[in-house]
Amino acid sequence: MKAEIISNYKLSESEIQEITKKFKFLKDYDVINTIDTAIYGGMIIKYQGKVIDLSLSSRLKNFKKTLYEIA
Amino acid sequence: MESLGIEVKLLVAQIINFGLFFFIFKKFIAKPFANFMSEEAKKEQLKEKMLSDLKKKDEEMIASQNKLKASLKKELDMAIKKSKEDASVYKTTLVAEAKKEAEEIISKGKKQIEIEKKTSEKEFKNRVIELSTVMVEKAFSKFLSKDTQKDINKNILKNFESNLN
Repeated sequence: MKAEIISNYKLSESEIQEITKKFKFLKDYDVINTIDTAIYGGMIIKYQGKVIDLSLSSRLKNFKKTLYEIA
Repeated sequence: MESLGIEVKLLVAQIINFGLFFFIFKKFIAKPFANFMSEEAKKEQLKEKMLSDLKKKDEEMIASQNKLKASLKKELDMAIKKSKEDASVYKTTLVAEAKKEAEEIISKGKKQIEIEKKTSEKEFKNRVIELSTVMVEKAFSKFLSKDTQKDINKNILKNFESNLN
């Protein structure tokens, strides 16, 4: 089973290990690191059709949405 | 008589002549002439009577014309007065209606201005939001160094709480 971690830069092994430590279920997956500069920072974890979006771009989108609602 | 130079026979003849002349004149000239004259007098009288009748009728007609003119003038004056009154009422109604319409237009205009003002405000705010987010994205692209990104990732992992595990 494969899991994808999308980041803004190439993650080091220690960083991937830290992520795997935090998300213990990733131990059962073959982790691949993909680079996408569009996320600006943070990461997106994709596994078995599910997505954990911890990127700066999604936070910015949510912030923008909140601003629209307030305005 | 003969010594006076008057002949009796001549005198008798003259008298007879005169009598005959008188008789003929009276019968054939005077009478018709008198009839003619009386006829003419009658005609004159008739003419005068007709003239006076005509004059009388003329006066009556003038009097009735004057009366008719007076009544027509009176009716015309009344009609003019009524028209003026009606026009005044109509004018008042028109002015009131125009005023009401103008007030409605002004009120609609004000509402429209308010709506447009709110729309413009919202559009302006949306543009400000768009511009701000674009600026933040540009800042992220340009000024986030690799070290800063590593720190961000560490922070995200530290603060992330889930029940996925």
